[in-house]
Amino acid sequence: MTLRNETRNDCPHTRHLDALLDDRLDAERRLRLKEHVARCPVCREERAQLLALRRLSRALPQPTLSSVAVQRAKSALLDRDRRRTGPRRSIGAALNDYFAERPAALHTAAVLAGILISVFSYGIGRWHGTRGEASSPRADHEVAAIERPTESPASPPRLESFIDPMGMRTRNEPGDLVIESLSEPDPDSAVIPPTLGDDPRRLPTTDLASADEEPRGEILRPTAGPIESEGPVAFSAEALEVLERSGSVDSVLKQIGEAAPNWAKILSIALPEALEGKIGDDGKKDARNMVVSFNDGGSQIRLHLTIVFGMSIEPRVQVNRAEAKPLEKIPAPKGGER
Amino acid sequence: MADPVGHKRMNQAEGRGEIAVTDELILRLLRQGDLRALDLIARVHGDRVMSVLVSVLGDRASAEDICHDVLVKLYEGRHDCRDIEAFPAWLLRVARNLALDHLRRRDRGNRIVEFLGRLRPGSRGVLPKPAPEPIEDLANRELEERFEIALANLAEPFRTAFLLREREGMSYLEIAEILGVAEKTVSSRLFRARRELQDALRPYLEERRKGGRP
Repeated sequence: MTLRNETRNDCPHTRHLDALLDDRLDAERRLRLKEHVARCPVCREERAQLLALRRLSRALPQPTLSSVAVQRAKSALLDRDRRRTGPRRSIGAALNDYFAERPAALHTAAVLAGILISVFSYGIGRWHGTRGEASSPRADHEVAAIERPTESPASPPRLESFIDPMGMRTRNEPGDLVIESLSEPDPDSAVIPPTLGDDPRRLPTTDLASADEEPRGEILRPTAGPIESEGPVAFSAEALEVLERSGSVDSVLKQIGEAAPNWAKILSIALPEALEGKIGDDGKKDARNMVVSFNDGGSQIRLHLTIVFGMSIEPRVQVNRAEAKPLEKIPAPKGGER
Repeated sequence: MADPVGHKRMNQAEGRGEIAVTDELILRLLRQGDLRALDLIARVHGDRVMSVLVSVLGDRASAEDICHDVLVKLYEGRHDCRDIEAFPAWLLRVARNLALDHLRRRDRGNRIVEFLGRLRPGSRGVLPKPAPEPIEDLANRELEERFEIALANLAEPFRTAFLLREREGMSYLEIAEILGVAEKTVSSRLFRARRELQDALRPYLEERRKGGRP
């Protein structure tokens, strides 16, 4: 180690040896430096060591891109293409895939949408302003209702506490958030295999997409409406917006967050856990299905998700289906648990 | 998906037992969504793609794990490369970015161990082979293994620049395009990489020189 300091500090020409080695000197300077190296033992030793490093680098085994990797890439692309062109593909999914491949187009579309919304909002505002004096309180109330048609006193999902505000305790235990890993999905279908076979509280199925499947929970595909206290629970219009969302974890969370913030909070906990569970797997599975179950308001929500790995480094999440049913309430023990 | 000209050209070349694959042909097939472009990329640029992956990741097994993802990424981003001249650099830049993403997720503590075990097939870290070897071979092997360790310990930007230059023989300009930095930065990274490697290996290099080996 002492030689290092002695050598490099002893001869200032050593710092030009890289340029000589990489042939980045003009002819005259190269000749002069070569003559110097021939005379100077310090530079000679330094140059010999740099050349040795080069030889060692070139002696490293050459990795090759195997045909197996090519076939794997092709299979992944073909598989994705098949999924995209499948019969059950929705317009939303198609648009999502289209924009996923063309971020610039997405940006343009977002800008255009923003402009359109601004113009529309401005027009509504102007129209409403001209009628302001004549409008009755009832009319104002109606406008508010249009802007927030499904607003409800939705409490945040109970993750830590399972005591509801009315002092009624749900049958669910703490840690309401439940994640279930399912089998790999059928590549030809986005339908998730039945998962509620063991649930004694199972409700009749109305899933039109797969009549052959075992009955399971009430499927609440686009059925907007208020939350009801009895029977199957319908989602609000905003909550339904989460269906068929797909993209990276962050983008899905963002999209869901805009429509149903409570659900996004739950998923922001559930998805990283699921992703961590994937690490260390054999890497051959391309996708993992899961159900995220939690309580929101008076309902138990079950979101059926698929996490797709392997297509790219960043996993993609697809929200396939959502189910909801009212929670059975039992009286809280006396003395109240807080 | 169809490219009569490209297919005909490629098929004719293959029929004659010749390979007339150019970047222009690859890029055209790629843009048309022809998956055979991936075969051609593997054939023409595969070694360099893998070298970039190994340079960034520091071990071959990880490079092999993600190389198919690179091909998928290239296919997905095929419309991003508009200039045929920039195609090779774009290709390697995609590979490097993907490898960097992978690297960020990986525990550095495990990397060195993996590197030792995987870079050289059959190698088991610094443990000597059980079979007796000539002294010179042992010295060479030890130097090579020390070199691999030193490489693994080198910070990624320096290792990548060093290997692209020394192993792949790329010019400063080519390296700068792949890494997205100025040529001067490449020069300084190379300088630092060489000095760090030299410092790590100096005792072995000097011993080798004293022993009469160049």
